[in-house]
Amino acid sequence: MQSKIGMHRRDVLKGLSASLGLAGALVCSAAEVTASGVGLVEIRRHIRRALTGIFNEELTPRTIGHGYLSLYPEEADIDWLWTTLAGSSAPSRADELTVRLAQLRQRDFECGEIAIVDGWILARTEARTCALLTLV
Amino acid sequence: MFIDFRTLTEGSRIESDLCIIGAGAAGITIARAFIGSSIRVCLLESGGLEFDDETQALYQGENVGLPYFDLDACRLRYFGGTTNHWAGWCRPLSQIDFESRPHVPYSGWPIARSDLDPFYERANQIVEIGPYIYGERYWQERQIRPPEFNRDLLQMDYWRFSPPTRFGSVYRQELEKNDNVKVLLYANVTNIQANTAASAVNYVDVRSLTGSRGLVVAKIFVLACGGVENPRLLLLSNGVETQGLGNGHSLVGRFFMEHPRIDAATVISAEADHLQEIFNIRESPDSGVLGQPCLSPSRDVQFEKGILNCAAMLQFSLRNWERGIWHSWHGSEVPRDYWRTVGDTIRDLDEVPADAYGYFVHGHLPSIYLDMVGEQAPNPDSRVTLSEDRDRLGLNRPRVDWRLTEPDKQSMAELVKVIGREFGRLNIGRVKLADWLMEKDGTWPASLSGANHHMGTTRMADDPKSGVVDSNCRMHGIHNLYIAGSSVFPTSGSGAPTLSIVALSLRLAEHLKGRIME
Repeated sequence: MQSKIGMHRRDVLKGLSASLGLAGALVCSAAEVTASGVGLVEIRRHIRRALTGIFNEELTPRTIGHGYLSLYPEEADIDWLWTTLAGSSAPSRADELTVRLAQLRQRDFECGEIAIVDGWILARTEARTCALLTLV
Repeated sequence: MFIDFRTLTEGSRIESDLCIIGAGAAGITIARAFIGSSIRVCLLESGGLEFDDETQALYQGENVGLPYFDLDACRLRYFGGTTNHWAGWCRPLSQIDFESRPHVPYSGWPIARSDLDPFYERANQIVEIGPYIYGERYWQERQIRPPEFNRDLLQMDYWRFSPPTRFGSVYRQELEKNDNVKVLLYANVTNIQANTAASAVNYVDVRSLTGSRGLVVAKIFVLACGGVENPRLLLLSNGVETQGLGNGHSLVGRFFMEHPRIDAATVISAEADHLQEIFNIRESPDSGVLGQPCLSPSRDVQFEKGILNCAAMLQFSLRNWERGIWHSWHGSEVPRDYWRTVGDTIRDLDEVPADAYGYFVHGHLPSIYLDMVGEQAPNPDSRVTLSEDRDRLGLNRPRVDWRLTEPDKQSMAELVKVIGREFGRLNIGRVKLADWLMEKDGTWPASLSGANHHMGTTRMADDPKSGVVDSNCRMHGIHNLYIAGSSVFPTSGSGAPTLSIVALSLRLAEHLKGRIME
């Protein structure tokens, strides 16, 4: 027969192990870096910010990202996408990336470099940004 | 002068110089052009001065093609015709609409836009829109700077809204007090009687629903009953030409065109208020006339992509079915497609609370839609024929077989793509094609509707093998029969037809004055 305290202790242990697991995962994730040396968490933060100006929620760009990668599976590569979007010398600040993506987007629209994904008519740069969001 | 045909002696014979059949926008415009002249005009109207169920029932007919409005709901049969319930949308046809375009089979008018320009300006006055402003001056009038779209891709055009002019009310008095124009009410034309060579019309048979009969003899006849009734009357008048009057080349009733109308895309924008300021219906600060911009593919894009001249408006307020309910509520009418509206409402019920919350709590509009008005490609298989069913006068009712083709759908998709590209370039929004436009199977969703515009069924062409009337709207082979109205349009453009109907009618009236004086 177990005491009340025993039950509590087990619950505390369960919670503790779960918390440790989660913290470990977060640490590993933060430590994960692309070949260009940029952390995934940082990339995620950058591209979320870049997409905020277009979509006010994350579900739509994620859906677009999945759709884009199913059309262009060869682009499902975090390093390649990041380098393509951010350039070989990755911007050190988020606003630099935002400016660069805006320039790429503008160029795409002007040149007719359009990607139609799930009905959305987007600059290829935007579609790739969505794709990267789904990968990081 | 107004005369109730039912009060005339049985078998009356009315003589005039000009007999106009149908007192709608076209018929009234032509009749007005002769006020005060020495020319005797007889304007025949099936109904009276007010709506009545019995006369309106004569407009019932069959729809066997794409789902379409009930034929007795999309037209009105009393003095003033369908202007008694039109919404007032006005926009002249574009230059390109008159041209023969290699990628649009059967396109090309035998007249140019420049032939109609002087009449458009006058038509604009008749429909009470004030100054003839449709180009760049629109923006000056509205005191707004338009978005800097790439004109090589996208062009902006403008709707202007008539009050709307109810021709039967606005122009009734001047017709009533003039002696040279006789308006015969309750006078249904049941037959256009040609001579044995089918080279001229001798008279038209007239009957009332109460059984009175008579005939009208004239030097010249003008058929002005609308895009469904014009071919119907010609097909019914088969005493001399058994296939129908003027139908030797089997063209009468063919090429029935509408303006397919449908939500074609959704727009998201962080600048919805700014877009609304630019694209929503607004009153001109100077003239008080309502106007709204619309977007069309440039000439280059039309030729390069091989597409039609569609137009899209941004709608900021409501979904299609919500708009239907809104308009019905304000018009105290039952929605046109009641059951479809109910179905759409049930289907989208989950969206209603969110829309209502957004609107009433935050003042946000549910979404922005691209409301597409298509130019329908001329299609000989889209047609009006005669039904086996008969009306109270014993005449075969019309059967409308409305058919669209793949280019109609493809053109809408291409326009949405161009708009999407330009909105993206200017970073004013992102556009999402409607799901149905992603399917390349030639099907149309249930939300497709027309615009109550009936065009093309007695088309204009220089060659009798290609058209029913010539460039003066005179029927090929019949020297004294003319046709007025949108049934003569060889192509439809995307502008609502009333302004063009009035402009063409003014032009026809000028021509007829010369003819009658000969």
